[in-house]
Amino acid sequence: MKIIYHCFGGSHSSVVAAALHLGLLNRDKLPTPDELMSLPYFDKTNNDDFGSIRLVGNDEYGNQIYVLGKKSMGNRYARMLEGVAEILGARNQLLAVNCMSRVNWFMKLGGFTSRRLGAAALGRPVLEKGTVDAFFKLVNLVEITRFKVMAGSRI
Amino acid sequence: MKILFIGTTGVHHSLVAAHWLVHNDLPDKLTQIAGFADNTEDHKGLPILVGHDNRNNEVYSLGAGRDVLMAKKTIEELLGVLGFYPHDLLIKPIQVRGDRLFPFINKVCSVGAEQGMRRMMARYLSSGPVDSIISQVEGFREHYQLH
Repeated sequence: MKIIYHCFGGSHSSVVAAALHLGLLNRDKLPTPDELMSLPYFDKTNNDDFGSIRLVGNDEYGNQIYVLGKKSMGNRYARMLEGVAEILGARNQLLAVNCMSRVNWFMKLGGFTSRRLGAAALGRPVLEKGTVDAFFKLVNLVEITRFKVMAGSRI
Repeated sequence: MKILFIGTTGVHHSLVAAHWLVHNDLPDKLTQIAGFADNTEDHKGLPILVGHDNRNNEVYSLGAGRDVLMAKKTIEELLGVLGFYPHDLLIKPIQVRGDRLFPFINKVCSVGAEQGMRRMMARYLSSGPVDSIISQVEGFREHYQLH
């Protein structure tokens, strides 16, 4: 199965969710700023990356885990992707997971300052605080997603 | 093969484009196209099957929101992710003047005045953008030799 975690920029919450899914971050411990910055794509994207589906890795069941930035398109983007998969006859191969419900204002403000304004030195501390605050909510989202995938594979 | 016309909404200009490719014709009033300005359908965000062209390709219309080119890029990449080839799904963005307002108009429709808005959208598209839509479809048909 292909699992796409998506958020506004495909740079923060979706990357953390993908990293949690792949075990690149410990689910029981808050990440340090260095651990966050060492994640692939974390706070490293630019405007050209909007709309790009980027592979982060394969999980232990062989599912491919991707991240995507879709601007402020909300759940419509997930429905669009799943709808396209449906007409191709591949609906059961795709799960699109919206991470925006787990994003807080610190993440939004820090991410905007770092990525859109290009002031990483100012934005990253705010972003890191927001990410740490949202961390266990993202853990919860990933647990739900992994459960859905496991339940789906049993049907 | 499948053909997907994408626009800011799936029930206005991209639907007209899909209808033109399928039928090579448009009704006197665009409101006569099945699903035209149907905001309930558009809010689902799913591809809308319009019909089959003369080569029996399935033709769809899809509303992709304000950034149609970003959506095109994502869908093209999704094809690769799912193991399909570009020719399995041809994607054609349809753009007309003012189309970034259409999603907003659809939202207004959802709180009332649906019939009035429907007629207004049909009048607007008929007043000039329809020629551009037909031209975009014919260019696409020529490019992929879909005659």
